[in-house]
Amino acid sequence: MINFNSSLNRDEWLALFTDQALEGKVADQTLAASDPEMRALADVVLRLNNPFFQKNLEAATVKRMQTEIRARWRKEQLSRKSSWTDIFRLDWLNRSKVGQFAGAVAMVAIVGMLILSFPGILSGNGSMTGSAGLQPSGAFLWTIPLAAILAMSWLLRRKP
Amino acid sequence: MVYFPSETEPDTVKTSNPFQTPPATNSTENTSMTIRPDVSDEYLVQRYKDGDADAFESLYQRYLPLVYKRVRFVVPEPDIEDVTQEVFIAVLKSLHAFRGDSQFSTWLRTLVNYKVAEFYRKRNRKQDPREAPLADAEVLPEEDDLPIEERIALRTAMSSLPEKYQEVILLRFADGMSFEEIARVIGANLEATKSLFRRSLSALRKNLEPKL
Repeated sequence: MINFNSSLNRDEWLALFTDQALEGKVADQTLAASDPEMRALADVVLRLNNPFFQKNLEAATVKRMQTEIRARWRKEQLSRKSSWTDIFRLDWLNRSKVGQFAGAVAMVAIVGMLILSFPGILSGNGSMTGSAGLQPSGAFLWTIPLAAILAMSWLLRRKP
Repeated sequence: MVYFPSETEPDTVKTSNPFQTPPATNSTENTSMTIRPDVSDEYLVQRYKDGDADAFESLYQRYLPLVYKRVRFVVPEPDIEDVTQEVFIAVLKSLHAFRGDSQFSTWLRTLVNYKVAEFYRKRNRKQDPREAPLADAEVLPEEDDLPIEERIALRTAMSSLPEKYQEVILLRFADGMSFEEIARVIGANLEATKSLFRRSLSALRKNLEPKL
């Protein structure tokens, strides 16, 4: 038992009292401090040192919690995986969208073939064969890729 | 300075307090099959990063009692297990990003505090915080150690403390650190640490006063 006296300052005394309380050497603060404030603080120390807060976990609880953590972790991993595939839409083939994907590819192929068949459309610096000197306008040049993008967006749109 | 031993630690290295990293030494024994309980936290973290899932199990076994005890001081009884599990899930999520700038135990303490704060944020969104202690009391079993009213009073008083006051009390009572160790952790000298401890208890006493 330690008594509060002038040889120790308040901080030192309380630290020492706490050490002894945690070691189980102090059970009652009333004898330890005549100073009302220190007695009240000693009381708080004893309340915090209640066995309820210091109780050890049972082995069965440790094991059960471990199992639950594993299960929750597995569940989290699964949900995270599906959200990533969703973001990058890598699940096309799993969602019966093969037809839409094929349509988009076909559209791009047609546009590509048109460009390859009529290179004058892209160059824009000469008349096309048999076109009687007609020049493709700038707007027309932009229309084809724009139409292709719109078509792809429409074909790949998400249906509710 | 964080030490990542490449091999095992000797049998003589023991740690009574998991929040203290055991001193690291070198040896040549290979530990690919088993992880002994006396290896350092940093070594286990490195093993986990290298793909050894058992390393996490060792960290879990080592730290569960302390995480649980820390949570128990500030979280109501029905939610202690859930918050504790949340902490370990968070460890699993972010252990790969742990760079070892601080000790694992320090990092884990921060994570526990964050999860406790998150618990209260979520809870206060759902219900009136003034009604929370009543909600706790409804589901708490009566235990001989400490009456329900006392448990609720202490937890409410603890969780209302400013962070630095709460932390110094938890370091002493939940983590079981000596004042010298606490001084090292908070980066203060011993006298300042003891003074902070007294002020923390004083603030806690004030929080407890209306219920005395």
